Amino acid sequence: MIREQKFSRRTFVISYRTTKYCIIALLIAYGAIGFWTRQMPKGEYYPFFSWILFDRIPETPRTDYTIRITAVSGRDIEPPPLFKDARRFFSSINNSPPAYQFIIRDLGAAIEAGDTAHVDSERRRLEENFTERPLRYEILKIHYDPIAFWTDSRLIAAERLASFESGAPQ
Amino acid sequence: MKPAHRMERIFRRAIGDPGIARTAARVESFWKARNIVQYFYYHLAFLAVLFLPWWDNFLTRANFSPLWPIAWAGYTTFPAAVNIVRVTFLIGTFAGAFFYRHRLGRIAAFLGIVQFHTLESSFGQPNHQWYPWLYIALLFLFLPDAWGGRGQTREDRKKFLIIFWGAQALFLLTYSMAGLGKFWGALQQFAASQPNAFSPNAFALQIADWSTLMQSRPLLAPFFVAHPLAGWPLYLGALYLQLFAVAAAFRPAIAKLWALGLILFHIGTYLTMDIYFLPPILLLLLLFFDSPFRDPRTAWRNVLFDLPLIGSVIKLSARGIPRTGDRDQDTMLPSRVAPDYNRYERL
Repeated sequence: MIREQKFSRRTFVISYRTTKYCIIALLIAYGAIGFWTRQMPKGEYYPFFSWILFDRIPETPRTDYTIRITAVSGRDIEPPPLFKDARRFFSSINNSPPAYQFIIRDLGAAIEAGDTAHVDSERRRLEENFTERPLRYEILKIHYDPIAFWTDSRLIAAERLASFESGAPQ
Repeated sequence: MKPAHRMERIFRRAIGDPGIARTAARVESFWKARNIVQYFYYHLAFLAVLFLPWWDNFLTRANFSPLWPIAWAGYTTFPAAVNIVRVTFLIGTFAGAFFYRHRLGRIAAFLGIVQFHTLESSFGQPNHQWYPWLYIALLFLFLPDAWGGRGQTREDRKKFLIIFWGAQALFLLTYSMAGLGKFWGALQQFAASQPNAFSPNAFALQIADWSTLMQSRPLLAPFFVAHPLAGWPLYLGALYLQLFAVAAAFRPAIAKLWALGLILFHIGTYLTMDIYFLPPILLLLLLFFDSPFRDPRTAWRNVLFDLPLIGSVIKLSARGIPRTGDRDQDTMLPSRVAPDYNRYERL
């Protein structure tokens, strides 16, 4: 009994009602902060997140950038694969494929804008993920229907913006 | 009646009542909550062991930019930082599994998962699938002492259960936030006459677009891209499940059904879009498949009545059904409302 009394001494006790209101406040605060962090540069701030994923259905038709790999170690590839069919040429342990697409978009936009410095830096970021070198590839601006493109690589239009070879001087 | 109490009563009747006080009064239900907390830490320790083969992958990843909880990694070499986090994760989670009854043990587990998750998320993009484990480990830090023979009062049991419920609610809130974002995006695209989440080919377009980015052909992707109408009800169903997920925290009768739906949603997104989001499945099973707030005697009609929106439609359709006896009246009412025969008369 004496031992029970010794350990029952509490310096700070919160009532059930206070605990309940704290929990409710936490839920409201998390939701509000989570949505607010969406406007931050990375779209979130650790450990808060808006959880807004896949909130937009892709437009059809749409325009995007992609790469087409035309040669490996000087040997032409027939047919030359587009990015979506070129998984074997990318390192899978460093980044996830969607991350590569963002780099390709940045590279394509930099080429169209004529920003040479940005083109060089994005090329480096892209080529460090290649599994084989040297790789000759083209940056394309494509116009396509997502379903037709995924099904059998059909494009509405394609414009070649530039051609590079990984490992070659930049 | 005080305004705050009146508002709380209105909220309970409209949204639901998890029944903290009722559950605290049922000792077996309280023990169930206690056991679930215990198994949470066991599972966390198991996951730490399961992750052992992948630690070396960190050493080959590029673009390490430590987030603020792991800012100390900037003062040591990257391999040393990875090893420190690896050891912290293992020791912390096993300390939590061994000493879950003590706040220090739970703090150790929380520190372990914080360091692991922060490291995992410091390569450009946070790993979202581990967030629920992190949040629940944080909330469980504040659980009052509920083990051993210290003679918990009903007040202690209620405090334990409200924190447990808070963990359930926070987890489901993340789904509802996702659903709200999708719903809002759908409204915006609908207003702009663009393809939107309500379109018959929405699911097919999402699969095609994301699979292209993932450089993959998931198992069920070809079927749903070729047959968009087959995926249309599934996509709308997933939107409904996510948007109203938080309601399951207030309506224990539907918690198990909702958890099953969300589990199938995660399995479905893996089979159609190659999106690996499987750790939350373990939490859904643990927290909701045998929720301590759910009355095992709940009739299936109560489950239907508690379904968000759909339950209201069913209730309206049930108007005018003749009373056949008091017992039938109890089972016809939603579980979140205590039997109130006068209220049923007004329906």
